[in-house]
Amino acid sequence: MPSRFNLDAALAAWRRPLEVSRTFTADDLEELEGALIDRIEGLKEAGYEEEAAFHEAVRRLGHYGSMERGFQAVYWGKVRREKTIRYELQWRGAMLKNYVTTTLRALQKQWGYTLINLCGLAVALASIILIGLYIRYELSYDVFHDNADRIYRVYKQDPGGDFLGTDQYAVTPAPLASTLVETFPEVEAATLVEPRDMRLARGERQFSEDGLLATTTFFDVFSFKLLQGEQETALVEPMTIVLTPALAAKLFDDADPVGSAITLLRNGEEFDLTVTGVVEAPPENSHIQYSFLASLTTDKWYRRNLERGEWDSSNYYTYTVLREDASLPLLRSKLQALAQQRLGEMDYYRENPERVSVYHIQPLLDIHLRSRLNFELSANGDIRYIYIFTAIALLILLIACINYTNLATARAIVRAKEVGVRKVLGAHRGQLVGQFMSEAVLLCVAGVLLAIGLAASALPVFNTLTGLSLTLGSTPLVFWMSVVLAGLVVGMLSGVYPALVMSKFAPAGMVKGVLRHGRGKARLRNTLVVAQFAVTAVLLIATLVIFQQLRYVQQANTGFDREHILTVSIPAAKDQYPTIKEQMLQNPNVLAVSATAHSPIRIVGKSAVASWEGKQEGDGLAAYNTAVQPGFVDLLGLEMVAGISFTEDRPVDGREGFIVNETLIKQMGWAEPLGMSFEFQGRPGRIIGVVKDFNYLSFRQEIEPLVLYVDDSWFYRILVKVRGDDMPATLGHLEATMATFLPDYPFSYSFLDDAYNRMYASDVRVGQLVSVFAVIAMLIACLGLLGLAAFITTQRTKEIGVRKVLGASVADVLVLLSKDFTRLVLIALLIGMPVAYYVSTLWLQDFAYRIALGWPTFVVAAVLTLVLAWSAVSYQAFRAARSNPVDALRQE
Amino acid sequence: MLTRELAGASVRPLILSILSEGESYGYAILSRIEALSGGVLAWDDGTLYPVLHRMQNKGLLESSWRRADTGRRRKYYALTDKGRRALEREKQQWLQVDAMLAQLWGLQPRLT
Repeated sequence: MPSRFNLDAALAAWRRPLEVSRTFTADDLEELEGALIDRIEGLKEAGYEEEAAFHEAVRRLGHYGSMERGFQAVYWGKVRREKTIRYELQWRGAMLKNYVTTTLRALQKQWGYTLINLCGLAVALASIILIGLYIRYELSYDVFHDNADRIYRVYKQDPGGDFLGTDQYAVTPAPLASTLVETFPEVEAATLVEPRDMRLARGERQFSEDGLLATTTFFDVFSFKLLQGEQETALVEPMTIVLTPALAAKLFDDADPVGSAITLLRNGEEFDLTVTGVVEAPPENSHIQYSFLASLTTDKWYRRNLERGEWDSSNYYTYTVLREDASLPLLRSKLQALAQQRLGEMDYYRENPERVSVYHIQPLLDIHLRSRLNFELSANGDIRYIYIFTAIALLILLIACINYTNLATARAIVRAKEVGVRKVLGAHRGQLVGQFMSEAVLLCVAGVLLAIGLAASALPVFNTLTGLSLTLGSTPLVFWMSVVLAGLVVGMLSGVYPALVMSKFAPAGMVKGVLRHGRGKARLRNTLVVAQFAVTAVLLIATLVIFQQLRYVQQANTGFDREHILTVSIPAAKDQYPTIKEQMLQNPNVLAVSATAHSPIRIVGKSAVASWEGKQEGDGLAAYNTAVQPGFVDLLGLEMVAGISFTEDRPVDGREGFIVNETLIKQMGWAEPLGMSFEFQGRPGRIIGVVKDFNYLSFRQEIEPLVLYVDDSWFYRILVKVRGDDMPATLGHLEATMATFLPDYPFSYSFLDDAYNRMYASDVRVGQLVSVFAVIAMLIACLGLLGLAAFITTQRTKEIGVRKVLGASVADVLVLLSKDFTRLVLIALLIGMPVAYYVSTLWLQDFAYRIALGWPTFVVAAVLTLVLAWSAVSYQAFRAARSNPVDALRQE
Repeated sequence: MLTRELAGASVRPLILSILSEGESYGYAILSRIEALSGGVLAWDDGTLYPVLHRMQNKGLLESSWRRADTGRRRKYYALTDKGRRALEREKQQWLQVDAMLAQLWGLQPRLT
């Protein structure tokens, strides 16, 4: 029987897969084929039939894969030896051109998806750039000092001495710094500073400036450069001052200030200060701020504290530079011993040894974000906000990644034909993965560029929101490199799954355009959608909670009026107060005038109550307090629970009268408080009134005992209640009045409600930022859903057509298409809500007075999320539902 | 059968030695090794060529196409000077190993 085997045809079939692989050169193929033929000849000689010989020869040649690997390993050596690199590059160039062409074609063909992807990505990356800028700025505080990592601040803890919620204080005694340098070898240098505002004058020019008193070792510890003057001597002598260039220019114009004298105005007296230098101004990201530095010895209290070795009076901020080899635990224990040694001998501490202060050290770099002491030099940031924003940035990134992955996988079907053709023509899986990954990366790079543009144009708004002045220009290369890197990572992360999916398809079906959607793929896509909306729900609920709490704080009844009340500072001429008051009241728009030592929104004085009726041995009570002038209670609309308030009509008869708050009465357990004898601030007296509790600190703290008393010389602020109309004229009247009595002082005032709102400014700021980014996250998620909905609707066009022909209404189709997404969003809400609840509770714990986290918040969030999701889906669904079924069914 | 590692290590000296007898082509080299080993040493045919190409990339061999009697073209390999030096080194090394093992096993080294 004649064999039907045709050797040439068999060889050609064998050769085909090798021909399409770039690994085998023409030479290689010829050589291999020759070897195969030689082997066949040899086998035939050994008695094989031709067909059997062929199969045996092919078998002996070995497995295609291992052969290809072997040739692949020597491929580049051949290119080098045979100098075919040019052809190689040409081929690669051609392939690249082909990739780019097909990519662009695909993107163009589905420009809607491309746009959605690109927008989502760009907005996400722009958000991340902005958040990154913000975080970078917050983290950059104080790092500019040469020894930043070796500078530590010494602070004090007074056990049992709670004030504003903590017993830790940033201030330390005068002799501490010098003692540290003298007795602790690990302390290289130390300096003391004390914030001080001064009224400085030269000739006609007068300015109120905030500066610091400091020892001259200030320059040894910090890297603030002395632009003129001698570092060793600049701040040694009393009455010497170093100016920042800006202040020097204000006082001296272009003249050289060094050696000249300026005038310090204080309490109506004039002192001469000698300018001994010019110091560079601190950058914005420094927790130490000043417009001048004056010698600490200028302060007579400091001189006295130092001479007497006064360890029990703390007014100064101590900063030290430690040696590199300093052991912190050792230093801590030494500091403890020092406090015991210096304070333990004093009578008070011998009786109350548990109250001896403890000195701690904290790194300079921790001060801005991690320090919450009493009397911080400047308002600090909060590391928790850094964490919050990092989390938000990552979540936004996640949402953008999911968008890309979902849209790309969904779109895969459209590229199926291309993938099929490539596979048939010999493309490897690796090549295809590479192609689709590069596509994702390319799109991400485009996204990065767009994002930078977006970030640049959104920066002014962002600066307004944060209250910072960030710029894109000053950021170092590393920052941009990490942005690009972030883009690449997003590209790879979101590209890898679609690439794997697409490259896996079997070519036969793909070329025909038939692609069965596995359940698995839909499940992954659904999981991603759920993740996206869970994240969105968390952000949304957090935003709602923050807003509610801030609104609560702003509208809550603090127990006193804040509207139309001005505080006017009165730094001197206090004996003239009655006349000033009379003058002010002449204006019909001025309704009432009183005065106080502390602003009613922030009564921060706290002292021990000396004695009270029924006090037992060992009883102790510290109460917040402020000295006030008659009219205080009425002006603020405080409610009296019992007794009378201080009024001018009813002056107190000889004995001092005190008004206390309900909390104090409750703590005392007094049933009948009026008339109880009470001694406070060295004044024996009695309780004449009880005022209803009002919030005189902040909503972060519980209301504590409060004492009000009258002192005719101890007040700094005049409180003025005015009518709302014609405010400029009223202000003019007040200013004129103050100018008559205090000609040397500028008119300085603020509205009580403004000041109150400022206390929560950083909360408001964070609330706004979180909400902005929550909205952005939501938008990106909805963009993704929009794309996905569009895609899935297209997929089901025919189904919808059939349903319509069979009598489905538009509403039926709408329900059909929204059902799936609704289910996903509901699952997302179920996951997101507990998380949101937990996060919100954490944040609210910071407030002593806070909103109750009720279900309405969650319902609102759920409804909002659903509505957003529906609106993303419904447009497409509606279009599909309205379409003529004939068009849909005619497709094939 | 030789282990994979030993088979792998011996390819190079075998090829160098066979070609030192004169130029040859793939199938002839394979047949020669089969004959020499008596079936102890066997690779897939396809793995010989990458080895030859690698040696050529390194400059140990040179190749040229010749037309054989059958009319087909064949690629012939020949040793270069570098290849000859490489063979000398291989030879020394294998002899050293042989001598060491022989001493340990109390045999007469036979490779000499």
